[in-house]
Amino acid sequence: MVDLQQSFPAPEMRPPILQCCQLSKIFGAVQALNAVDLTLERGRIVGLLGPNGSGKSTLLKTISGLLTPTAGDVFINGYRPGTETKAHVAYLPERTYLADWMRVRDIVGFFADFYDNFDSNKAYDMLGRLRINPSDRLKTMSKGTKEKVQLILVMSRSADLYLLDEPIGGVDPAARDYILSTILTNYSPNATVVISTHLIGDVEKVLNDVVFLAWGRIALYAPVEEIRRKEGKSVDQMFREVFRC
Amino acid sequence: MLGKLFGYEMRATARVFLPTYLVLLAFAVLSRSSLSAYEMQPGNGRLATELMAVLVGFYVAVAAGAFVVALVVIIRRFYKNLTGDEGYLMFTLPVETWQLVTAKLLSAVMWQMATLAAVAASVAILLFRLEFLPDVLAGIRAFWEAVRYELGLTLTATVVLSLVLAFLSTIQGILLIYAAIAIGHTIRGHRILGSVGAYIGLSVAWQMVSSVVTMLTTGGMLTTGSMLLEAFWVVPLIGIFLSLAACGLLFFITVYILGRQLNLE
Repeated sequence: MVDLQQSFPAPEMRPPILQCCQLSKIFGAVQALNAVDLTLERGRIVGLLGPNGSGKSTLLKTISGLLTPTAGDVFINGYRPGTETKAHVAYLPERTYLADWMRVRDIVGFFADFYDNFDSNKAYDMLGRLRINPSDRLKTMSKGTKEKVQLILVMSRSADLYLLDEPIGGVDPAARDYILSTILTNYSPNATVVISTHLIGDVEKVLNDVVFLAWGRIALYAPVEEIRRKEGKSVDQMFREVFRC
Repeated sequence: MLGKLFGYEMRATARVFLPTYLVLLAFAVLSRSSLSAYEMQPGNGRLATELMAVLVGFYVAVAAGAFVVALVVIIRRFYKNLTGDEGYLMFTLPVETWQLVTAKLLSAVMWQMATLAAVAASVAILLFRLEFLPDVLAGIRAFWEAVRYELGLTLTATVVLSLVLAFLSTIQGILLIYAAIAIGHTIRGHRILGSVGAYIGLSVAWQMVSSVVTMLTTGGMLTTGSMLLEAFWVVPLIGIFLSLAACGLLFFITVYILGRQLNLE
């Protein structure tokens, strides 16, 4: 296995923000990821699209270090998932991962304690805009509100790589627009955002690139502009064609 | 980072332990009051006697329950916070796996000790009387004298080493639970069953290894009766070395699996 950090010694030749090399993940008899090769550059908003069970969450969890690859490698900024990469990766899981007895204020404090790149003022500002009371406990909140809190926490970090698994799946359409604009206005131009979703129509307008994942394999990886120009189709139309049942 | 993790760990668990201790001490005070009332007027009727019996019964149940609560919280906290949904947060923090495990271990040891202290305090509330104080102090002094002059210094060493061994065994007991949960985590689809099986397997292995090693090292000594008292301190000392080795191995298994074989599904 190659240590990419050594392959990219010069600061001006920084390694890609994400590189997956022949990445495979098998759960029992199910091949969730099948020799995925994927390289993402900095400063892109990437849509990770695919039908249910195509391996989107598995890919994001493997990059985050929550799953151990069966074969292959993942490099974030040249490093394998570990303490170094976790400081620079902001991951939003598709489930509630916060202890429900905690108050929002406590959780903001928790993030500020552990992530050097977390901005508490930004978090409180977004909470205020979405009318979420920092004194409320998570267990008193609806599922959608909890998702908003988690997204606010993740987007209040100044990370290099954001991995957002279904960030708009459980929230109402009005909040979706705010969340998407939040994502757009809160990441630095050098950061890359990966958004996994099947609500393509809602996110299409903010994406630079799309990755279609089908049964654990990359079916398509292209800039959105290229799909529109070459194919004359929207990403949504393209998705329906590729994944026609 | 370890300090921060430990702080959050204590805060997360204190919300269960502190109310438990309050209830325990409250029942001890109530039981003591009913006992005192009964003693002042023994012929106070059936109702007072029954009330006293019920309160003391509740106290005993709560005191025993405090240890069960401690065990359940230690298991649940590790399982839920690291291998459950909350693990999604804990394992994406920029901290090392050994720090996550150590923070939990330190807090678990603290609460085990605190529970023991709370139960001891409650027993004191229930039974202690000021007029007993000279007797208790005299008893402690007599025990100490006996240990020092009558039975010789080796017994002092044995007592001190046994206390160290008891403390290490507490740590080992917690690490055994952690390692069992970590091993169970590697068995997809049967994680709880796997953890229970791993716990039983590790316990049996520990019993076998510690019996064999103790027998081999002290067997000769124990059969030669003349050496028994003079060298009895060797027994807990061997226990300490064995327990240290077990703690190291269990800690390594836990950190290795959670660090290198993690699969949060």
